[in-house]
Amino acid sequence: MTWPPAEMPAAAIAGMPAAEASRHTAILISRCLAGEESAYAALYNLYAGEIYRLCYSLLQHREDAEEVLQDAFEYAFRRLETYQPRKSAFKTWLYRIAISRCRNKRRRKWLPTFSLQQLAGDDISDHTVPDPSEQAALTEQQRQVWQALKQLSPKLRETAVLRYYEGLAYAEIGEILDISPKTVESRMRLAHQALREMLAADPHNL
Amino acid sequence: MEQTHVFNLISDYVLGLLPVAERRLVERHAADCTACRQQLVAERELSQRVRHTLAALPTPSPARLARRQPPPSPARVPLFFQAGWYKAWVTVGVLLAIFAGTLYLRPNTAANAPVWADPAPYALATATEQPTATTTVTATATQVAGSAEIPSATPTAAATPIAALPAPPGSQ
Ligand SMILES: [Zn+2]
Repeated sequence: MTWPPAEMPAAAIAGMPAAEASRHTAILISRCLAGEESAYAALYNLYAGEIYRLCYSLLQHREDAEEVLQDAFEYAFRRLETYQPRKSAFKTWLYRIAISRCRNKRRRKWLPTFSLQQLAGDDISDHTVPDPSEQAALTEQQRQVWQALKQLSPKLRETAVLRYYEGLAYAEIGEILDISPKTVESRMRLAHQALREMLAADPHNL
Repeated sequence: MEQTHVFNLISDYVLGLLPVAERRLVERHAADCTACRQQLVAERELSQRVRHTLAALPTPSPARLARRQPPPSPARVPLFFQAGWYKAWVTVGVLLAIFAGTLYLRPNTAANAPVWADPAPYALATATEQPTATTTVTATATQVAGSAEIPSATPTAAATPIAALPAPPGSQ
């Protein structure tokens, strides 16, 4: 019998202590590399939700986030044997892959959108129609925060999401974004300040 | 109570950017100073609002996520078609095409006679002047594959149209 079972629900893993979760991941990776198909599914189930949320927070677009999720895992599975556990945690490795794909996605989307919107004389930042499920899930106050995050530059948003939501250490964020911890810190200060100003200017706030 | 306010340290405190000594300073001061404590609370609330917003974002259903799962057994790309090798083979192909081109054009300009009419004089000339086509092709391929060593046949061929070839990588 193999452990952990492939059908182990992600929720059970999310509640695991970090050491046990990383051991679990290491076992799954070795099973994947041994060619066990169910291990790929288990590895995906373990991290897909998390990676989706990261991509959605960065791209703020559901379809795009799902596409990047698929693309990131496709790459990760194909390059699984190049992952070096000694160099970084598996999550860090996956985050790096996902973030670089989010950047590509944004770049590819931005170019045509920009020119078309410019021709039409529209404001680029307002072109995204709010997702109904997003509207339903967030309170009025949270929607303001979501809009404020949208106004941040992609670089500041990356740092803000990894810090506020993921609660990662500055050194780890630097590793994921390929920048020094000092740069992470200064970006975080800028992001925090920008959010404070945007949300303070909001008449509905506090 | 500490005399000076710590306003300028508060967001760094909330963001976890302060060393221990300054962290203690902020805590001691805020315990007694209402103004600084209020700012500390406001900054902390801002962080929490962002965190709660990101945590409240809807996640697709497990079924929807499952549809995005890539194939479990990744198709292995044969070594020769992987990026690095692929480029090397394209280079070899281009060099061979140029070489084939010069092979056909040369008698045309030198002897002023169409090559398809009488290829024999050229075949004789190559036999004396330069290595056979096979040798040269091997030499080119070896250089492209990254060998720094230039085969001894190449200097002899320098006077021939081979010299018109672009320098292969690794030869400079
Ligand atoms: Zn004070």
